[in-house]
Amino acid sequence: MSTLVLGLGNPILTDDGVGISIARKLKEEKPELEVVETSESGIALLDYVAGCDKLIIIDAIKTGKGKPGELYKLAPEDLKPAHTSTTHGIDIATALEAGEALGCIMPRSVSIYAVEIREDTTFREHCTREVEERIPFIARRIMEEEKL
Amino acid sequence: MRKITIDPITRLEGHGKIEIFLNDEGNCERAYLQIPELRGFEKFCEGRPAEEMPRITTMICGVCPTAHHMASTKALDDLWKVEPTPAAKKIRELMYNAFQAEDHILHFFFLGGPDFVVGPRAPAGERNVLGVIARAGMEAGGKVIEVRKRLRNVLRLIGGKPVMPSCGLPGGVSKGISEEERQTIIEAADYAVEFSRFALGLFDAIVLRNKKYVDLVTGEVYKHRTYYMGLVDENNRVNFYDGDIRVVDPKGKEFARFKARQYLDHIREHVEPWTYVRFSYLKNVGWKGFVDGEGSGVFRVAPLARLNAAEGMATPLAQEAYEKMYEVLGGKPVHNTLAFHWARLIEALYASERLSELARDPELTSPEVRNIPTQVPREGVGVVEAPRGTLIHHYQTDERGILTGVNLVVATQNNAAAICMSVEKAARSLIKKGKVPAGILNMIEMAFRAYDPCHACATHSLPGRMPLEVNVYDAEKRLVKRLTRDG
Repeated sequence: MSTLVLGLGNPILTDDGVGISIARKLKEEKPELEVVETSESGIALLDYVAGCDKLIIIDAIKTGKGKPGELYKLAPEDLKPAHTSTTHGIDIATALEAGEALGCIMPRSVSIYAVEIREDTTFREHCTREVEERIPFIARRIMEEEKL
Repeated sequence: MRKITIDPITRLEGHGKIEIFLNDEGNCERAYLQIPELRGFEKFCEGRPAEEMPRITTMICGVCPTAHHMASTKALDDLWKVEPTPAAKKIRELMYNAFQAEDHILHFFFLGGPDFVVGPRAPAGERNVLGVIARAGMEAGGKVIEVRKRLRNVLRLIGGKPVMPSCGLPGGVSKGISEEERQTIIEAADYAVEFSRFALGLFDAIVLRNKKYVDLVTGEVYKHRTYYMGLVDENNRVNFYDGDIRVVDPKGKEFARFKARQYLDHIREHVEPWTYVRFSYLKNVGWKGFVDGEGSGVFRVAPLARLNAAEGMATPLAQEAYEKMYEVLGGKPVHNTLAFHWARLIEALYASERLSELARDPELTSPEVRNIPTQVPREGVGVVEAPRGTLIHHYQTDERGILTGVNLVVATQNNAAAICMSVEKAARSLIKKGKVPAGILNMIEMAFRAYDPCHACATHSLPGRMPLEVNVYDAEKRLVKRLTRDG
């Protein structure tokens, strides 16, 4: 069964790049894993995910309700808005659904991990300290959870 | 680990906010669109070698990395005063047109198109790409996926990756194109030409043959009589990669024509206390506020603006489509914001045709793909037409090429004043005597979706879209209504 780890975010926008940092950590721990890093979103993700059996997405989230560095696990339907109009791009859930509708071979299992972040509007190559410190722990949690 | 459900409004803080202020009569007095500002880019770049910029700037946003890469590469040409070889120029332009075609097609079918293909008053849950597939058919959906795949393959062949290319160097590109690669590009280009014709046909069948849609496109709600800006070639035809910057006035008469290096003589930025966004305006007209007309320096960029600022298209099929648009919409310039969607498809056809021309150019496979810079760097300016409008990169360095100053004039900033005006106009026409109709959110979104504004920097993190909130205040500045996507 092929597994794809998709690290999302912008690696030069402080905490926005946490998904990419975690994906890199997973690759470091388990070099045989297929890991893709991208700052793309929405329908562009179909190019990477079509054809794989199991998909693990890691991204940043800013709910303002959790502690920076807190890890959440989501299902695609958790991200689906009731109103899908958007200024630029579509959400992951709609992209996966569009893939199905267009006859692409879509993953049978999709796990989405989101890390609560604090800062994503300042250009910087590293996450804030509180998020950065949690990266090894989060990578381990995902490996356990996904039995990687 | 906590299990949470993402409410679309949870990421609203600092993101996509429209504030509408009503007067004593309950009508819209002013409306403001606020978007988040990314900070510290100039500081981030200073002290780095300038030649890193084409790779750094692709990371500014996940939507138009190729545009930043190309503007940056051209700024480096100017910085080192080195001309790329003829083959390198053709390779760059070819890649750039593949990018434009892919981006425009994506916008029409996935972002802007649903308003028309599915319908502006269709249930919100259907007004998306799934609704487009349901209306236009599986075959159309399959074609969209195929054309994207082929065009992204062209970008990968030249740029190294389908996004975030790394091929641009001062004086040329990092590698040439083989005969085998040329064949792949020719096939992709021909497919893209056919697809773009199909897309225009779809627009014709769905929009132009529907009086309600034509009325919507040509109506006053989305109309502004502004100046228009775009790059043109020596014959005043649209060009995405190179040329002079041309500006026409609201009557369509040439107002200015200048080189990228002269941009500071023509473009100025206005700052408002309520937003970090800098509003570009024409220096030689002046900032007169968020108003249109000949006396206001507000100008627009992006597809319709480019077509208005030019005198035609440089390829035959696109020229035919260009003539048809102006004939149907009553001549030049067209001021209707929703016509941006039509112009975008005409540009997709032009980009595909130009891709096809360049793919067949005998010089394309020449191994002479770089001139080595020999001058001492000081200052360089590069310009391209990003899908969302004119994009300028301006760098200053010390004699070692270490950056001491960086200024980017991005497309959405050029359209920012007009976007605010469109939002306000939609709000004024829809809110009467304190009554805020339910459909206002989509009507306002339609106003700025036409510009395809690049707020993608704010959409990287989950849930993967820019949330939008509309707050309506009465004459006493009390919040009387809050609308969100689910509102």
